Amino acid sequence: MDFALTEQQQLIQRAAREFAEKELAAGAIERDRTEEFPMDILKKLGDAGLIGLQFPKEFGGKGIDYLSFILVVEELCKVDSAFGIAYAISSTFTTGIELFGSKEQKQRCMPRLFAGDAIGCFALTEPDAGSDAGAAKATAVREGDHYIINGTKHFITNGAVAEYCMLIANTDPSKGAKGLSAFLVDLKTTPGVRVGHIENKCGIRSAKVAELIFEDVHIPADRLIGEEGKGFKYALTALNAGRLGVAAQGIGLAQAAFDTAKEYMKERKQFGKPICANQYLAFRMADLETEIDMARLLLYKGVWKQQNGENFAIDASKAKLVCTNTAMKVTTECIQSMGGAGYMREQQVERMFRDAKITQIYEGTNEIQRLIISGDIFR
Amino acid sequence: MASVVVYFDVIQLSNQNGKAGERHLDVMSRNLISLACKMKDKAGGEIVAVLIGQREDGIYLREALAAGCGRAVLAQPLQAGWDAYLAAALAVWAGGEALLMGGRAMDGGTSYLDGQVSELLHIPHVSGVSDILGVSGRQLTVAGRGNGWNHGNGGNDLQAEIAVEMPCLLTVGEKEQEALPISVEGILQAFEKEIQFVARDEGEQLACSFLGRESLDGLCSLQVLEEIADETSRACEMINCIPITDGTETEGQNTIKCILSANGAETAGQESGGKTGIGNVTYKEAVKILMEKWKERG
Repeated sequence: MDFALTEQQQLIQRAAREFAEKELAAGAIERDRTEEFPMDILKKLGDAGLIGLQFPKEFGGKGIDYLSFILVVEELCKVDSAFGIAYAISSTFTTGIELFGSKEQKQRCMPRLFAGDAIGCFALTEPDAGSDAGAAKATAVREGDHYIINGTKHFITNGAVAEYCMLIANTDPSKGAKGLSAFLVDLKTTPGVRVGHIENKCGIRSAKVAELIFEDVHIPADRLIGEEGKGFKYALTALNAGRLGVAAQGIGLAQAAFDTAKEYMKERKQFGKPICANQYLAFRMADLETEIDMARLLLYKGVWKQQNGENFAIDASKAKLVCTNTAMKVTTECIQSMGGAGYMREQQVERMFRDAKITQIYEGTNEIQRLIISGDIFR
Repeated sequence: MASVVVYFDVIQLSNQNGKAGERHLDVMSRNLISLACKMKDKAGGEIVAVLIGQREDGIYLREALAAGCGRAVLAQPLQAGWDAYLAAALAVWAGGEALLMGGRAMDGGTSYLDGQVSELLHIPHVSGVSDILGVSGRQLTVAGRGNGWNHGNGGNDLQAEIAVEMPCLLTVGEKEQEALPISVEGILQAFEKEIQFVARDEGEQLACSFLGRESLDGLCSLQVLEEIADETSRACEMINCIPITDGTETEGQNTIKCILSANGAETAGQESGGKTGIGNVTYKEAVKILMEKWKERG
């Protein structure tokens, strides 16, 4: 069993790390304050070739492995997890198109996404359909060669800035979740689509999470992704990959908080010695590093299964559950280890702590992950 | 311009990169590549990355290829003390018209290799280079650190424009250039290229051909230095260095070797202010003692 990254993966990780340190680090605190999403930095990410790593070359992707993408998510999230998750969510959208979309649909959006000229989003959640995503009420009614869409989606990451959306709407309400279908919608150019309320969040503040309102939106019938009635299945399949992305976000947050606290504890002196010389604090860091490593291994196992074409849904749920819980625990403990300084914005660990909380909630709450895992155990 | 040859030092790379398992080029080495890319933009040619190390050090050269080098050569090290001959031979073999080395990245930070190589190749050597200003025919214009070490200007060296004829050797100052970013496209292309591997015996043959000798035996090497260890140890103490130990690659050996290059000695002498830590013997006097011992040895 070889746990080492390949040379290519190491270099891609390095390129992502350098990009994050050069382009994201300086403005991370300010973006958290202003909630501005940096589309210019997204463009630079595209120019560096760091978008679309795992997608086919035919549409502008790089055709390399999924782990390389996960490594990039982790490195971006170490520095600015709001930007990192925006990148990852756009990839979840792209995964849905790649797996289930037509060639024309892929050609429509993938080149622009990989160039960093546009970003995507995934519109599933509604005010009355969160964990119970199958209860989505947005409708898509076929009329001639169009579908007419009505409904409201909320808590849509990238919703306020996305150009493309994979929208889940009901083409047959009588069938419940099995009546849901998926559509590719051009958010900025389609009449009747508008961005509603933009959320004012505790963390990932520069990721633009918004309400999307669809009022008599006419879209061509060829914007149906795959087949009618398969939308929920497509959504859950795309979400499996998305969960690995959120797990990587969790690892990035945990690692960054840990590294920050470690350096602080080496420098900060109290009672004539660095605080890391206190065994209780050092042991705490030993436990945290061990937990980060365990969580990372679980994430990489899920990625390994995905890359090898195996059913990775349960592993994705486990990885999401463990990595996000680790992120919350590590960021909390690192603030504690840093004392008052850890609470201050300048050290950035408090931002990582605020960013970590949502990772336990979105992309399927950790309670839902337990439902999935226990359902598999006892089926 | 035929080619720019960029040298890296794997020992320094390994020491600088902190965490175990993280193997990547340091800032200095990336800066070398950035300058080489600048030269290539102005005058064409090819950038050849050269590393003296073992096969597993190939990842450093992959990064160099990803960062803009067109070719990479990995040469196994020869006996300690012979690296300069190998480096010079490789430069000729690679067709280097401009050789770039890092000011502190060579041979454990002693910066002796550049001086020795320039002597062996009989080419001009400019140290403290911070930028490439222009290439016109055989003439290269560089920005270098002029003679203004801490003139009360806040510790900043004076910058000078220096014109030098190619072929030449440039020692690049630390963190003078901003390293160019690595793109994914560059990484993918790097793995489509072959890294030329020069085994130890091939490297010895190259060095012999370069020197016009049948073997390198008798040339100054660690073996020779060990035989005059007593005197060299004492001289090392006089210049505040660690003495030779048992023939393994240690800082002491590198420091001994640094005095064999006039340029290296000059540089180290400046850094120590010309005075040693123990006794009243100056650095240059210690160097003189060692050189006399070496000449006696034949």
